[in-house]
Amino acid sequence: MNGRLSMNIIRRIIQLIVLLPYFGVVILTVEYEIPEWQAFIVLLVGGMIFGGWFMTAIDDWLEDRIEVWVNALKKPRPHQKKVGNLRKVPGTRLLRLVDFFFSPKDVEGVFKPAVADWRVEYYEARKQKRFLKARWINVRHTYRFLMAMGLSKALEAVEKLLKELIKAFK
Amino acid sequence: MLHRKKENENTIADLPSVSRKEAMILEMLCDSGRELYGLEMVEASKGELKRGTIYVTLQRMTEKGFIDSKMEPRPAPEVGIPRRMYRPTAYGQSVYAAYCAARSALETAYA
Repeated sequence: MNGRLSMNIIRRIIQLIVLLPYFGVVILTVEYEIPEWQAFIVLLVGGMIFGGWFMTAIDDWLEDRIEVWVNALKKPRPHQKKVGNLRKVPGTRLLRLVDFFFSPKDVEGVFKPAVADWRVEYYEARKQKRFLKARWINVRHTYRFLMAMGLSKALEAVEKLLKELIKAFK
Repeated sequence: MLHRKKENENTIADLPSVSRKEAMILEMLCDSGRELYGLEMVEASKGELKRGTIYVTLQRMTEKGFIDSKMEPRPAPEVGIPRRMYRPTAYGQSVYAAYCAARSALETAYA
């Protein structure tokens, strides 16, 4: 197992640990039958959005920290050089996801133009040294991208299913 | 008696339908006189059009034949996904003109 692979695994485990409180809230609310449905849905959706933002916001910082920790455990190798602060182009992972689920026509007609405009906004903000705005652009476009994929419909279906489950348990 | 539809007879179902958002996009494209990006239309709409849904609407309008699109030409060293620029077709322009005429007729009738 090389260093890059172990760093990615550690990053994913930490991201999962960050999400565990939100899963815990979901389980507790179902078990204790919180009557206010609106509050529950807001908590769930808000938690997912905040979790997504949090992971996006700390992604690069976390990667740097994990790299430092992993390197501290390894023996020093004089021939290794630091490549530079490389970062993924925005929308790369989401494009891979939609490429899997959607037809080529939808990917070319809907998702690729969205990603192209997203990248133009992102790099414009970075060119102006507005790094926080660039991160906010990523969060906003990720959310809109997920909505365009039909996430809002999926959330409605989850809400309907949970309502049926609560009715069945009452 | 059953009414057999003649070859050149149009029914309501054959007429093109234009939603409010589609009309707004056609208005922007026809009035600007140039090709526009999706993001430009979102910003020009002042919140009426959303980033998450505009591309779905543009894809639907392309399938209906109202608009056409092409990739933005990029200079040689640049790489990455090129942006898509949209323009109205002749059919889209005539549909928009008919929509405006129908809207003004309705406004006059209910004024």
